[in-house]
This record gives sequence, structure tokens and C-alpha cells, in this order.
Amino acid sequence: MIMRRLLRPGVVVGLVLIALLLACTLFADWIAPHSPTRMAPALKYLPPIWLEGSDPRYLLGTDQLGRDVLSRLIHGARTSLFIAVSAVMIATAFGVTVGLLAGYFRGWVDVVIMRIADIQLAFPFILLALAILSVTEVKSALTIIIVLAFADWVIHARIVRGRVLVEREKEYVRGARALGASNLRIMFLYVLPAILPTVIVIAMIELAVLMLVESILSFIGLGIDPPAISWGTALADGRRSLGNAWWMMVFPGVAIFLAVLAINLVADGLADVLDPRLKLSGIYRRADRSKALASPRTMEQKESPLLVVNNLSVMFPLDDGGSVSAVKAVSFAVKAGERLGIVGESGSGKSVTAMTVMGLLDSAGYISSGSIRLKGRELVGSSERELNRVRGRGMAMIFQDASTALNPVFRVGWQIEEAILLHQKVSRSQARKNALDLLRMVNIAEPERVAQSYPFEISGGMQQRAMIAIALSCGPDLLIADEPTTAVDVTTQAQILRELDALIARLGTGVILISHDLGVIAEFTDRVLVMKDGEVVESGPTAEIVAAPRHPYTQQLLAAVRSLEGGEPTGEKAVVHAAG
Amino acid sequence: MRATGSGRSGGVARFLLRRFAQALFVIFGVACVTFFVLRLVPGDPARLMVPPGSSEAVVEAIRVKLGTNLPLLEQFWAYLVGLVQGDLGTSFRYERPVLDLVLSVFPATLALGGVAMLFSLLVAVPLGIAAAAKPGGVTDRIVLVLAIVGQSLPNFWIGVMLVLFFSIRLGWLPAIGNETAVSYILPVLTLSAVLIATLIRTVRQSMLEALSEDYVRTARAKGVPWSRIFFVHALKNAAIPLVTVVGLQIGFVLGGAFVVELIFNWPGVGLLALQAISTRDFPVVQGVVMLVAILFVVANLLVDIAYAYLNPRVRLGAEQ
Repeated sequence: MIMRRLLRPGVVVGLVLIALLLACTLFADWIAPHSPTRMAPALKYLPPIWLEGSDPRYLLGTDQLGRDVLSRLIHGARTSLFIAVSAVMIATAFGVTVGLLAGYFRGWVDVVIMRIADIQLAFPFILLALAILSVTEVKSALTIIIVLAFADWVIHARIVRGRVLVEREKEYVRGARALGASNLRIMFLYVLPAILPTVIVIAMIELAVLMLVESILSFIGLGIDPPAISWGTALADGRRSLGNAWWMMVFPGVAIFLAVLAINLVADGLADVLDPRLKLSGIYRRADRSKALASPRTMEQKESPLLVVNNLSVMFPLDDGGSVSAVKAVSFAVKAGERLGIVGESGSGKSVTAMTVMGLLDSAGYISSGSIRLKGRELVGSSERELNRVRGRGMAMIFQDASTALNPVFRVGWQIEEAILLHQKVSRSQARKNALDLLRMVNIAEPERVAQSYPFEISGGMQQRAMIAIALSCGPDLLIADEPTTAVDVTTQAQILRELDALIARLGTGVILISHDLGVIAEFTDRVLVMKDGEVVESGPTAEIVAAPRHPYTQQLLAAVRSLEGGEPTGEKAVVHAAG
Repeated sequence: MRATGSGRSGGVARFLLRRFAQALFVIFGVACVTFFVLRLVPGDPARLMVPPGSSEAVVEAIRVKLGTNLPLLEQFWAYLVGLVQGDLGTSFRYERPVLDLVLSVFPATLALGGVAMLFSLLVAVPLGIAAAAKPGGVTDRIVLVLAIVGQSLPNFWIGVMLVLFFSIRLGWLPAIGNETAVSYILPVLTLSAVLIATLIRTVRQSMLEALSEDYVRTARAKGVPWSRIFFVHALKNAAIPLVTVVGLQIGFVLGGAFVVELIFNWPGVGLLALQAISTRDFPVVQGVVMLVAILFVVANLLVDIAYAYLNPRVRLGAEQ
């Protein structure tokens, strides 16, 4: 699978070009048709062979001293590549070590290293190289390599440090530390291998950058001293002969472009496989609605329920071309004002079911069969525009984690008002007033202040209440609550659930409550659907199921709740609740 | 973390003050690095400034003139004192204070860099947004190819190619100088090519990242139309990383200006520095490096302010 992803056309082109580049580097003496340094004044400025006045022996023409342009290119590849590769290797080795130290030890080590990095980043890359090279008498390959490495290490150090900061908190590192592994051992035996993919990708990207910088330095006259041949020096020659011989300028440029392009393409392919965050050109997948098959089957209905889900199946395509079903032929109904619980462990398909009902299926997933009807209106196969008329008004949703579900750059009030203005014909000031009322309704003590706040300024409990206010803003008939309180602490959890309970009882909203906790389901729902591996294994009135679960999985879920609550039979409480 | 009026402006003031202190520290660091790099690199400026084979007495005279005969720390102190007073030394070649000299050519570089940055943003932001609107679509693919090609091209080569074609072959546009508005076209294109490639990718990537966030799902659940999610909910979030990248790219523009100014004989700091290097006018080299670095720091300070404006977390002092 990895090979398949790696061998995209772009990457293959890149690899072929790099192979060519390496061949030039290793076998320049055999490949080049002429000596790169042999001068022939009589043959100067010969054009490439397809032009008039050319010499068939000189494929790409000759330069101002009658030297073969092609041979100089082939030999120049060696210098350019050697310099860039060596510089990247030094910069990587140094940068990674320093980044590891900074990220691992943090504290003053980190402060010192990062301040130095800041200072160095205050220099435009070229400027630093320029400053150093301007006072260097001899510009050997080694000088250039050191200068490039010196200017480049900070990039590697910063990225590695960032990765190490994350990595050091992970289980395996803590475990190693608890077992008494030395810092050195942890850093190089545990952390380094984990961040190695990132290191490799960055090194490739920087290799491309350094090849460009090397050519720029040569071009402005600060490159390697003659008689060494690099592409940059060839270009500097070319510029001086621009009026006489355009080919001297064009071909080395094309060579640099192709080499750098090849490295970039391969870096991109590597990033795709090794570290997707770094890739240059990600293709993100979005829902392919053409795949959604609408197979509406009318159901015999005695009374018209609020929501009828019939035979719903949801598939997710896999990387290898197959697909996996996350929800398998699930059917259920919710009557107006009724509360349905869906319970199951993570991966049971309960959240996917909820998202599908809302028309919010993640990227690649699609409905392979089934029907979803809200107040008689078929939602499967509806356009986004049609769905948008229903979402927020006909049905609304409370998400798991309000801290990420609220938009960080808009004020809380704005986010509530937006929902109101979208669905109701009210003035802006009326929407503002309604938003404050909603905040009051969800028991927020200072609605004006909270409305003026950004999400991060208020507590987790408040965020969740704001989320509920958004969901209830347009008086939805159906409210879907997906683990509505998992992100807040236990006391707040219970409190919010009770408030929500009272609120929806007053508003008469139909509810689908999704939870992994049968205790919560037992306390707050009328009927329950137990899901496992995408299928409904048991369903019925909550009180009955909690009192006498038939399916072993339900028994397990119940046992889990009982053991957590110290043997107290949650079921009875629920029976009382349901009866009352 | 009170959200009262005074608390808010307090947060901004604190943030800006901290950034300002950091900038000062970085400028001091830059001064140190510039000084020590130019002093400690093997190679004696004085010797480079005299014709080969000059007598030791002549070299020593130059050293005295440069001040490089003094102990290193003494030189450093004199340099720092001069710096605080705005004295960057005197150019050998022009016999003028370096600061005057650099400031006289600064507007030309600033104009070139500013126009190039503006032009790049005008091209890259709409293209990046268009690419993100339909990932994997035709526009997206074309934009990505352009981006990776742009990133692999040496900017000076683009410049020379443009001159070759539009000035030498067609004779449409001036090859050198900055006298008229038309003369901006080729240098700006040269400087922008790579910049556009980088910015397009940033815009596209941050849009896609914003679109995959939970709050987009919340907005959809509210029934917000896609176009509004795209241009309001996602775009405002995506602007935050873009601002950071623009800040970093200012350094690239300044560095790129050196090369572009050389190609187009543009009378800016880059050309001044390169000429100073070839005439061994070290105080000027040092002055240019210092001032460009300071400009970069100041520009990033401005970017930070824009960043704070866009990102309430930073503005209100909750930055991690």
C-alpha cells in the first residue's frame, strides 16, 4: 500500500530525474562528450545543434571560451549536488541534535537554543551567507558547505524541537523514563526513531532549497572559485554572455530547475507516506454525493413519527480500493417529544449513525442504502441546499467537544445569532436579544458577558451550554446529542444533563442521545438502541432493557456501569425515572 | 481572564510590549552576530582591501582606519556604542556615513519588495482559495503544479529569462533601472514567482485545514450554506497562518531583492551591498546586513500586531 502511494507519477518522474543526476555525478568523466575545461577559442559561442552555424560535436553549443556547454553541465551536477548534499547532512545532524536537546530538556536549554534560533531567523537566509562569504578569501567547496549548513541548521532544529515536545509526553517515552532509561538513551533510541520520518522529509525539502541557494550565491559572484564548475558559476558566465549566447543561460537554469523539481517531487511523495503534515500538495477527499444511493422504501406507519430511519447502511472506502461498512441496515424511529438513546462502545457505529442523520458524514463515507425521513421528508439524496433548510431548524445537534466545535475566532453571541438569522426572519437586534435569552435559558449567569466572549475565554461547562443554546436556537423538532458531556468534568456533566433534560421536557423536543454510558442512557431516555459493530443488537423501552437485558453485549455494558457505581443497580433508578 | 474592556486592551498592551522587548533582544543579537561573523571568519578585511603584494605597513594603516587593530572586545564596544547613536561607520568608497548611504537607497528596495509582496498576495490568495474550494479538482491540480514548479525555479534565472525575452528579443520592457512604472514589471514578476508559489500553498493548506475543523461541522449542523462556511467561518481562521507565513516571507523578499536588484540594476540596498562586497567596502556590507535584519524584525513585529488582531487568543493574552 505504501509503495502504491509512493509510486505516483510525480514521484516516479522525480526518481528518474534524480537517478539521472546521480549518474552525472558518478560517471561524469564517461558521460560527458568533452573535457569541461578544454578551451577552444576558435569554437566560442557555437549555438546548440538545431541552430544555424552549429557544430554537431557540441550538442548544446559552447561558451565564451569554446568549452562544451553540455559537458560543463554534466560535471557541474557533481559540484552542485555534492555541496548541497553535504551541507544538508551537516545541517540536519546539527539541527536535529540541537532540536532534540531543546525539546527534550526544555527549560533553560530550550530558551537559550530557541533565542539563538530567533536571532538567526532574523537574517534573511541569503544575507547571512552573503555576509560570511564577503569576508572569506578562499571560496572552496568546504567554505560554501559550511556557510550553507550554518544558515540552514535552524530550520531543522525548530521543526525537530516541535515534534520532540509532543513526542516526549507520549506513553512510550514516559514508560522508558519510569523504567530508568538514561536521557541519552531515550532521546536517541526512542524519540529519534519516532521523529525520523519528519527529519528525512525536511532534509529532502531543504536539499532542494540549498541547491537553489548555492546557484544564487554563484550567480552573484560568491560561489565556489574557478576552476571548479557548478551550475551556478555556469549561469554567472551565461549572464555575462547574455547578448551573445542565450543557451549559456538557458540550459544550466533548466538543469537546476529539473534537479530541484525532482527533489521536491520526491520530498512530496515521501511526506505523503512519512509525514502528511509536511506535504506540499495534499489531496483532501470530500463527500462524493454521487455515491449516495437513495432507495426510499415507504414504511407502514400507524402514527407519523418525527424521524424514521429505515434500513440505513453507511460505507467507508479503504485505501486498498475496498470498503468497510460502519453502519449495517439500521432501522429506528423517534416520535415527537420522545427520547431515544443509542448506546455502544466507540466504533459501534452510533456516532456515524447520528452524523448520517444530520447529513454530516465525514469526507469519504457514503450511504450505500436506506432512507432517513424527517417529518415525512426524505433526506437521503437531498442536496446540501435542501439539507441546510432542515439543519438547525428541523433538527439540531450538540457535539462531543464544545471547545473545538465552537469557532475560535468568532464571539459566542455571534455564533448563536448566526443560526437565528439563518432560519428566522428577525432583525439583527432581535436576534441579539434572542441569543441572550437562549444563554439565560441554558443557565448562564452573565449572558451579556458570555455573548461578548470568545469561546476560549469561557469554561468548558459554559462552552457546552453555549453549544446547547446554538442547537436550541431555532426550536428544532429533533435534537441529536452526541456524547454531549464527555469533554467536561463529572459534576458539570451531571448538572448539564439534568438541565438539558428539564429544558427539552419543557420544549417537547424529540431527542437522540448518543452515549457509551448505559447509566446516562438509562437515566435520560425512553427507548434505547444497543449498537455493536455497526448493527443494532437489541432495542426497546429503556426501562425494560435495563431491567432485563437479553443480549450478552447489553449485559456487559450494564455490568460496566454497575461496577463503576459500586454495585448500585442503575436500572432501578431508570425504571423509577421512566415510570415517573 | 476577565473580558471587560480594560482587561482586553491590557492583554493587547501586554502582548505588544512582550513582542517589542523580544524584537529589541533579537536586534541586539543580530548586532552581535553581524559583528562576530564579519570579524571571526578567517580572512582579514584590511588585506582584502589592498592590492595583492602590498606592504604590511599599508595593510596596518587600513587596519587602523577600520579599527580592526584594536582588541576584539574593544572593537565590539565601540561598535555597539556607535550603533546606539545611529553611527554605522563610514563608507571607504563614498566617504559618507553608512547610515546615510543605506537610507538613501532603502526606498527603492522597499518599493520593489512592497509591490512584489502586494502583487503576490493578490495573485496567490484567490488562487489558493479557488484550489481549496474543490480539492482534487481541475483548478486545484493546475494550481498545485504551478506551485511546485514555481518553488523549483531559481528566481534569478526567471529574471534573466524575462530580460532575454521581453527586453532583448521583443524590446517591450526596460531591462534595467527603476525610473518608470513600466520598469517595475519585470523585477516584480521575478521576485513574485517563487513567493506566489509559497503563498498559494499556504492559503490552500490553511483553508483545507480550517475546513476540516470541528467548527465547520457545527456550522453545517446549524444549516449555514457552504459558501458562507467557506468565506466566513474557514477564511477568517485560515488568515491566521497566512499572516505568519507572510511575515516569514518578508525575509525572503529582502533576500530575493539582492539578486533581482543585481539583474535589473535596481538602485537599492541589494545592489549597494553587492557593489560594496566587490569593492571591499566592509562598513557598508556590515551596515546593510544590520539594517536589513532590523527591517525584517520590525516587519515581523508589524505582522505580529496583525496576527493579534486576527487571533482573539493572542489578542486577549491567552496565547499558549
